[in-house]
Order: sequence, then structure tokens, then C-alpha cells
Amino acid sequence: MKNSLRKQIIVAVLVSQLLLAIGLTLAIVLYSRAQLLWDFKIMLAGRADSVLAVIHDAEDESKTLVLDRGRLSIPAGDLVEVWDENGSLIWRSPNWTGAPASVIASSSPTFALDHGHVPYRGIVMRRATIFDEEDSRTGPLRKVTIVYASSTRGLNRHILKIGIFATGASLLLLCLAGLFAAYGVSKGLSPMQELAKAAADVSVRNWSFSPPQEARTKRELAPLVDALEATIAGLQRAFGRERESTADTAHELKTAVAILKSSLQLLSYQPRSIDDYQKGLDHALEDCDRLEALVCGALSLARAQQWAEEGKSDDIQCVDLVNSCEQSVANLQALAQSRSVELRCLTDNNDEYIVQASPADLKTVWVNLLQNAIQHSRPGSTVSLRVSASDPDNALIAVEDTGTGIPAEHLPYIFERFRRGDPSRSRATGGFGLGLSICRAIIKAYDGRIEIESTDGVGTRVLVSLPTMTRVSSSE
Amino acid sequence: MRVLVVEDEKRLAENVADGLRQGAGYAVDVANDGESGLFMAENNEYDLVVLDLMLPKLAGPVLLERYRKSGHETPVLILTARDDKPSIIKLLNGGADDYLSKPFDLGELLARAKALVRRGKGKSQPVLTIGDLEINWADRTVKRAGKPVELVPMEYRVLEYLASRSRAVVSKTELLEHLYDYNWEKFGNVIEVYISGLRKKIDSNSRTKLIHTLRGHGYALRVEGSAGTDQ
Repeated sequence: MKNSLRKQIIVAVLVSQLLLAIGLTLAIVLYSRAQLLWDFKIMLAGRADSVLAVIHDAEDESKTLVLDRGRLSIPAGDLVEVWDENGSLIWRSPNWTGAPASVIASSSPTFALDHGHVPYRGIVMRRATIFDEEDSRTGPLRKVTIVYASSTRGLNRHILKIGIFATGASLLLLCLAGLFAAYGVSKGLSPMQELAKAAADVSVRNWSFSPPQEARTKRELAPLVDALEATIAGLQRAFGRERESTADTAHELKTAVAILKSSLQLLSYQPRSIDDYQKGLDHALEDCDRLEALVCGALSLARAQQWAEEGKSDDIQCVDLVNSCEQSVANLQALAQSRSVELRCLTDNNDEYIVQASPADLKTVWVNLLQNAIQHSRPGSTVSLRVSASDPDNALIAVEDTGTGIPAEHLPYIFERFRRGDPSRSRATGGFGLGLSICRAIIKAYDGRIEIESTDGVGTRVLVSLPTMTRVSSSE
Repeated sequence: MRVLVVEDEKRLAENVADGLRQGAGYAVDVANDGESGLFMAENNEYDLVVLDLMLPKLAGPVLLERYRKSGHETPVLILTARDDKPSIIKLLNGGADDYLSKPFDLGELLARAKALVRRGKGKSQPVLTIGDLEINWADRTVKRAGKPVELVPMEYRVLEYLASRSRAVVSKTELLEHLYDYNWEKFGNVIEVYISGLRKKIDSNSRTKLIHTLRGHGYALRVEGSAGTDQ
């Protein structure tokens, strides 16, 4: 079962509110109790004072103090004890054994005790006072200690009532808050659910993504909406490109197969001479070679693109760039000579550029670029490959020809597959328009860059820059 | 009959053209891009246009649209490497007459080409009969009164064209237009040579003459005085 975000939020809100309610209830109860105890203490003090008022000198010579029992009016159940300065008991409530000595000795004015299983709270009041004498003489200052305690049963009941009321009110408010939170959270999360539904509706067949307008206006959801829209649009473009590329490849393959098939069918259409058959078979073989070249090209493009996306290739090693370029130039000298084109490799042998790449991949790039340059060069012209440093971390390889050039309107699409500068001319040279796409995919896989500059009728320059590991230079 | 093949893949264009020449006895012109294809189609009389869709300079569908807009009725056979039905439907609705997917069978291409040419001339019967003359479009054989007549290829093409025009008078220029491709020097007296050859092979042994010369106008293939026998 999946966790519900809504449930989580509601629980979080309720728990926090519950804590708040408990805290508030406790605070109310504690505050009320303190307040009530304070009032209780004042009441005790008042009652103790009323006890003090009914103490007077004894009639006899003993100078002892006595309590006028008849005038004493205190609530029944209260406990009183009166001591004089000499520590003798003046009066004590009948049914009481007296406060423990510790209470009287203690400096704290208040105490709590149990009497007959009833909680009591009392004060110890020490007073020095002059008790009136009958002959109106000012008597000596006499000290008495009054211990007065009263039952706190009523007080406790009161506190309990306050507690119950506070708890009840809190719980009621908590319930209301919970309902409100559930409603608010559900309403708040509904754009998210709609957004999820809209996102789930997107598929390969249906790319239209219509997020709820409400989600767009929410600060938390707007970035998600934007991200989803960008992702879906990107995916749609990628799918479109993929579909287009598959269709393009299929088109080229079908055409190549159509050529081969029609060549063979034409050959078998009517009886022919041995020579004609020989010629026809040679043609069919040429068609086969083209088909093979197309399949190989499409596969290496797919492979290079996969590497560019996954960022890895087999057989990565440290390659000496100058060496790699020189080998490719040497391999193509024969082709260049057959077209009376001079092919030069311009490198400073003192410089060494080491790149991390697969030697075969690099060779593919140089051979493709040089082949293009040679095929589009006029006899007697020169094709050059130059390796130099564009900056300390990058090597720059420039392949330059003074050939036919590429019309400006074709330049933006020159790296797209099956794109040929001029279809009829490129087809005459046997190309499929895959070479530059393969080059770009490979260079991209090695974090390099490839650019093409061309002027129609003047010549073309392809610039490849590749990150180098080290550049050991003795000429600097 | 004269056919235009518009196909940028030169080897394929050559093979299709050779197939049409050898298998159907047609005169074939080839255009390697859309622009020259449209130019040739609009400036020559063709009995069929074989059109590839993916063409440089001018795409096949655009070429077709412009060709039809300029009022040409010539049948168009589309060659396509894309098997997407909506665009096929759109093309057929837009004036194309038939289509073939690459890679196609050359025999099928020839059969469809012949059928399209035949229907383009308003004929549905595979064997044309004029009096007791029978012309089989499919295997290019001719019989007169049930007996096979041996014709050289050019003679057959002249006869086939005259028969396709249903008793109408066909000028020498029209014959030259429809029997020779772009690269041939066109001389009118060549036609006269083939006509006389045909007369010898078809009419010399029969009392009913079928090939008629209308001086200053051209030629007609019909049973003189009869009507509706040219089906």
C-alpha cells in the first residue's frame, strides 16, 4: 500500500495541534492551580488572623495566653494550633494531634499534610503582638505561632474542573482543526493529482500535455509543470528525430535494395550474351557494395551516437594525434593521386598531442573528412590536414580543400544524416551523406567540437577540436 | 509510347528505364531531379510518368501537383520507399494513378506501366481488335486473321500507338513525339519507312486495308467506313 501524502500531512498537522492542545491545557491547569493556591494561602492567612484576634492574656498571674474559644469562628474541619513563645501549646483543634515538629521548625510558611485521608494545606504564621490588658496598660510584646490548615479537597476539585474544561475545549477544537486540515490539504493537493493525471495521459501516441491551470499558478507546482513540459517536449522531439531517422534509413535501404533487385531482374528478363551477363553481375556486385557501405555507415552512426549519449567507447587509449592523422593521410594518398589531388599533412613534429580515444574512431573521422575533401576537389588542387593547438587544453585539426565548396543554404544541415551538399554530385561519388554525421557523433563522444566553414566555389574547411591530455612541446 | 522516369538514384533510374525499354518497348527519358523532371514532363508528350517521391530540388508530390494543375492528363505511377498509407492516399487523391513501394518487382512495374498506359488511352481490353487485326498489349504480339505477324520493335511501336489512338488521324509529329526519347534525332521519313514496312506485313495479304495515309495529315489505323470496330 502506498503512503498517502495527504494522510501524512493531515497526521503531521493533527499531531502538532495535539501537542499544542496538551501544552495549552497543562499551562491553563498549572496557572489556575498556582492562582488558586495563592488565593488559598491568603484565605488561610486571614483565618489565622481571626484566630489571633481571639487570643488574650490569661486572667491569672501566670501571664500565659489563652484562646477565647467562644469567640472563635472558623469553618468546621479546619485545623488550628497556637503556640506561645515558650513553646507551650495555647490551643489546638480538638480532633487533631498537631502538626509535625518539622513543619513548625521549617522556615517555609506553607505545608501540606494528610489528616484522616483528607489532603490539607496550611500555613505557619509567626506573629509578635501586644495583647490588650484590662487595665489599659501597654503590655509586653508577645510572640505566638499559629499553625492553620484547611482541607484542599474543594480546591483540588476546582482545579480538576478547570482541567476537564480545558481538555474538552482543546479536543473539540482539535477535531474542528483536523476536519479543516483534511479539507484544506485535499483541496491544496488536488492540482497535484490533476497534474499527475495529465502527465499519465502523455504517451508515445499522444504527446499533448495539458496541465491544470491551477497547478501553473502554485509556486510549489509551477517548477514541476515547467519541468514536465520541457521533458515531454524534449522526449517528443527525440522520438520525432528517432522516427525520422529510422524512416530515412529505411528509405535509403529500400532504395539500395530496389536498385540491386531491379538490376538482377533486368538481367534475367530476357536471354543475354555471356558478356552482358558478366556486365550485369558486375553491376549487381557494385549495387551490393553500395548496400553494404550503407548498412555499415548506418551502423557506425548508430554506434557513435550511442557512445555520444552514454559517453563511453571500447578500446579507449592514449593516442598520438599527429601519428593518427599522418596514418590516415598516408592511407588516402592513393585515392588522392587517382584524382590528381595533392594531399598534405602539415604538423609540427616537435609538438605532441595526446588524446584519449579509440584509434579506430579517430581514423574514421580523418578518413571521412579527407575523402570528402578529395572527392570535392578539382584535379591539381591541394587538400591539407593541419594539426595545431587551439589552446593549451585542446588540439585543433583543420582539413582544408580548395574544391567546389558547399552552397550556403546547405551548410546548416550539413551534419544531418543522408544530407548531401548536392545530391546528384554526392551520389556520383558514392556517398550516402552519413560521413559527416558519423564524424560529428564520434567527436561529440570525445567531448570535442566539429565545425564547417565553406564558400561555394572556393573551398571548404572542417575544424575539429579535441581535448588533449598533455601537450609536450619542445619548441616553446 | 514514351515514358518519363523521374528518379534521383541514377542506378535505379537506369534500371527502370532499361526495364521499360526492353520489357515494354517504350521510349524512355530520365530526369534526376524534380525541377528537370517537371520541365521535361511539361514540354514533352508522355504516355506515362514514373515519379519518385524524394527528389532533390523539387519534391515528387509538388511536381505532381504542378503537373496536374497545368492540365496534363498523362498517367503518373509513384515510386515510394515510404509505406505510409496517409501520404499514399493523399497522392492518389491528388492526381497520381498508381503507386509501387520500393523495393519493387520489375515485372510488376512493367505490368502496371503497361496497364496505366492502356487505361490512359481509354482501353481496358488486353487485346485490341481492329477488323481482323489483333494487338496483344501485354506480350507485344500481333495477329492478322489469326496468323501471327512478325514485326520489328519500331514497327510494333508505331502500330501500337496508332491502335491506341482509336481510328484517329495521327500526325507524323505526334508519332515522333511518342516513339522516340529525348536523345534521338527525329526525322519524319523514318516514320514513312516503318509505315511502309507495316503495310507490307499487315495489309499486303488482305483485301481490307487497315493502315491509311491521309496526305498532309498523317496516318490512321481503322476499318474504313466502319464504326466501332476499333475496340
